[in-house]
Amino acid sequence: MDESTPHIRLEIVSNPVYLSGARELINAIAKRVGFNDLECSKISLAVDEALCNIIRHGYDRAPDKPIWISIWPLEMTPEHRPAGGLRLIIEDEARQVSPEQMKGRELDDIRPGGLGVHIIQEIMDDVTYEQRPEIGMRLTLVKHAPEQSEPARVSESKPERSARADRPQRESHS
Amino acid sequence: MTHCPSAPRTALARTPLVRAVACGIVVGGVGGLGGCVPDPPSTFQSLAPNDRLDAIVEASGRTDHESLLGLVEQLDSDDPAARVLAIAALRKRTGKNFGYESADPAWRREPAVQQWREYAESGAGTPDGSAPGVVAESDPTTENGGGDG
Repeated sequence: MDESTPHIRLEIVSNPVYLSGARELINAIAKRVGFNDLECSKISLAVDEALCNIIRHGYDRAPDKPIWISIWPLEMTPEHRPAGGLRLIIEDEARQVSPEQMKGRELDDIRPGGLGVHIIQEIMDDVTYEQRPEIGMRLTLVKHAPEQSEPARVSESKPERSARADRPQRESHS
Repeated sequence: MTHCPSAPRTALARTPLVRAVACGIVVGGVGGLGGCVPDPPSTFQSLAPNDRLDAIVEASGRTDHESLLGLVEQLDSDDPAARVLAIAALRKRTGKNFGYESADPAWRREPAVQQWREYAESGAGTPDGSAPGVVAESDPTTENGGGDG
């Protein structure tokens, strides 16, 4: 299998009805890769926020537009088990905006707006917005699994946030 | 501000003058049968998520007990954006956090939310230090490790 080929690729229409299914899929995959219940829940929340942003702001709530979610494990064990974390790429055909506009913000200024991006950035280790070549946006999300965790392990411990700085940046697939 | 369902919803229509004119046309056009009614105030119980966020923003600048309780209840909202904004507002008002993380699932948030409820119900965090009908004895946050801001 080509490394650029997603291990999982999901296409949904921009109807909020399908968000819960996408969340459950992400949650289940994250658990198999080695995230604990807490981290699985947070990763699902980050993806949910990203999808909501596309539906609300990118597609102005139109319920019939395409959204693609591609998923890769960051590593594969010699036994061909996914490990190391997840890379997710969420693509759409929505209105393009400058990636600069998609930066999160500090919350000292109490006001709506930018909260979804803030949530995503709080949860994920790497968050990159890009414009697709002709139409739509591409969001790449990376979350590294805790070093010592095992697949499907249930724990309340939260991985050290500083761990992200110790890891090399991985190239995103396009 | 008034809300007129038949008025244009464009950015231009958000200006009071344009909306007033549009409403007038609508009201005149239907012989006064329809009309513009005042927008309901944004409250924590509003059905529209954006209205609830507006209520949180408004409460962030207040000091009364009721709005403090309202903000604390938003910590348990199903809407992640409401949770993010509510804890930011509470931090701004009180300087405390009680270990709350808005991205946590409900089961994980519960202990921190409970500390916030006890804090608010004790009357702490209001100018006179007491909730209606409650005699404040001490700041509970000094005893439970809160206030990590």
